[in-house]
Amino acid sequence: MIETGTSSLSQQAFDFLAAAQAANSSPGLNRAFSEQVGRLGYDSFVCAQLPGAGSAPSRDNFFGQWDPLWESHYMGNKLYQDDPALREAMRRTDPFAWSDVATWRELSPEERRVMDHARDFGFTDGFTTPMRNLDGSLSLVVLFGRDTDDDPAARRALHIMSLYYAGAARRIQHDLTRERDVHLTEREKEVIALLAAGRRQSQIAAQLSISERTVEHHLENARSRMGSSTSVQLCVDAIRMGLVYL
Amino acid sequence: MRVHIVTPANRTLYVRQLDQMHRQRQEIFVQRMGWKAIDSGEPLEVDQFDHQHAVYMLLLGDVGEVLGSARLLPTWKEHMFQTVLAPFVEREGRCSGAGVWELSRWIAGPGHDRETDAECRGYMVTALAEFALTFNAEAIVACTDPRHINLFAELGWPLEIIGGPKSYGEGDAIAVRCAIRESDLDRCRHIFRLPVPATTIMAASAPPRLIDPRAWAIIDQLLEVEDPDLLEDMILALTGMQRRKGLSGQEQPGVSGRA
Repeated sequence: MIETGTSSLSQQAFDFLAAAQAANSSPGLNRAFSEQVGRLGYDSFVCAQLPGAGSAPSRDNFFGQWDPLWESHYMGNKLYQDDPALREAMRRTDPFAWSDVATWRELSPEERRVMDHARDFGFTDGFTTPMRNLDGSLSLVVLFGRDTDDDPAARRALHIMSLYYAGAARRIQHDLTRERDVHLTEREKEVIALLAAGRRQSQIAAQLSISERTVEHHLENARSRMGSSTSVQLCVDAIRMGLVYL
Repeated sequence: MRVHIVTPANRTLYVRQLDQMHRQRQEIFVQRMGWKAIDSGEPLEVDQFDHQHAVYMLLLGDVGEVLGSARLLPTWKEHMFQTVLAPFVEREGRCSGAGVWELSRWIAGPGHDRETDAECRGYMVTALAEFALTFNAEAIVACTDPRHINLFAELGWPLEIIGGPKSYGEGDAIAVRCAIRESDLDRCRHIFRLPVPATTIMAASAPPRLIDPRAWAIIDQLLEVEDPDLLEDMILALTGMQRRKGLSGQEQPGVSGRA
């Protein structure tokens, strides 16, 4: 059932904000979001952190409640390579409906093919909200619809709820990683401190009388536990968190 | 990098940095974002809310350069929701009161590269939470771009929408209220990996000697000189002038010029 009254939509957004703030697990957050966007004609959704230029999206960065068959089809056939909504999301900051894209420009045959595939799965339209996260990375929330509403008030409500949903999903993720005990062994701290002091891995190995392979092993373990993407980032993170001193 | 809290009591310590902040505000809000309503045509963006009760957050880099800033107005004094932002408020009584501070003119990072901006944002956001807890703020209220709502959610700060979104000419704005708790600061420090306080509050009990603005004008002139000989002449002339003053009018040979 679609509700389009402005006040009821504002109330819907307010209700969702309250529910999202109280949610401390992904299923709880998804349930609250599903309930609200479902009333506006959207029955599945996904939040994805976008990869850097030239990289393929990874399932590890997806969050949400979307059709597993469509996910498998979309990823397996690499439809993201020609997805017009994804292309637009990378260069826009405002939300849009998929149907908007065809009014802005002519779709290429490959792009039309992606939209045809989506229709084959029953998604007649979608609503995409791009956003910047706290760390500056780009995410988007995609709502998949079958009986959607184009009302401007509905769009505003969907925009606010999509933004808040993505932020709350990341907050839950932050809390999960915070709960993990970030502990480094004394040896790992030694290796990081020497690396931060400018030593090469071969020099660290010689100084600690261990092999270079063991040095790399310590760094890999520490990177994984700290969630740092590179060894340089690991040094910065360990120093900032007070785990290593120079 | 550190955020300095500039209060009415210690403001005299930050004269140059505040000047830089007002220049950045002009560059970012007027020139880059096109906020016509606040464009006075002056190189510094200053309005009636930059009054004696305003508190500023200044993010200073390693050599004291301003990398970010924000203005905090006590809502029991003159503030924006009373007048210019009043149309954005739908929930009366939620945007002002004892212990409620109004945040505006937020700049986090010079906007040149993503990594620096993310680091600046981390310091500024953590500093805002530290400010709220240090100053026993009941809540922080602000009028912001709706596209930033996800950031509040990611921080986990309890958010209340008190009005909007509404259009203001150059975009949409939404009025929000946040009551920041100790646990929110903990999460903030975890997200940005900042275990130590992000803020510094300088005591104003012993203010340093203020430098005469005429001295800054001379320094600015010296910085523009490219010819090393001319620069040396100017420095010698200046030091010569000082010494002559010190000698009560007696000319000291050999210090008034290169010749």
